[in-house]
Amino acid sequence: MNTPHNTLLVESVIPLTKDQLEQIKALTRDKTISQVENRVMPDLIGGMRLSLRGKVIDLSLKSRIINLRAKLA
Amino acid sequence: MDISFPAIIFQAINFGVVAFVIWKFLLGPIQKVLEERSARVEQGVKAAEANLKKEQEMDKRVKQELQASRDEAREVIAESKKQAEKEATAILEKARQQAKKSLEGEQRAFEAKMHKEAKDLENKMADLVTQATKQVLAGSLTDAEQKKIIDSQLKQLKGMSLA
Repeated sequence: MNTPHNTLLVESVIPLTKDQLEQIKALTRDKTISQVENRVMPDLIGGMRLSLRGKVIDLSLKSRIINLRAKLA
Repeated sequence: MDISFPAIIFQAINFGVVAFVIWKFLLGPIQKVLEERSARVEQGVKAAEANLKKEQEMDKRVKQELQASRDEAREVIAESKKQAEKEATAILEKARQQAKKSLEGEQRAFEAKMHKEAKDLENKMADLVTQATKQVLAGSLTDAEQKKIIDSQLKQLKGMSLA
């Protein structure tokens, strides 16, 4: 699932509003972002995951559960 | 009885002649035989004394050698006893060390097994907890709750950077 170089990919369980996507773009403070793409990923369980040029901020409940599993073991 | 002087003289001469003959021809050889016999007896006595002395020396030497053999035998027995005790102690010590080593090995194996079982149990529990959490959350979050989570995360994003 490759995205263009300057595209910010936002994955979430429910589709985000334009306003939310703009908010996210603004929060990244990256002027080079040309567009924001939202993909619906029920697998994430909850929350969202941002990807830009190979860098990822994973705020999904899935990743939280995975971290919890690692701490429990 | 008349005493005849010439007869006495004749008898005396006669005696003298007989005595001379006896001295000359009989006494010498008898004396020689006696001396030879005496010498032989003396030699025999000397030889017997020498034999006795030799026998006594032999007896003494035999006794000494017997004593030396006894002493040596005693030393050998004492040394063997000492060696046997030393070997017995070494064998006991070795057996003790082996038993200890074996016990330690068994203990380590038991501890490792217990540790592995505890770890397996922890993993199993962690799997169960995360699986249950996933199942509960996956189907139970409403769109409103999902939105609430997103809004909350938008606030979190203020402190983060993708740049």
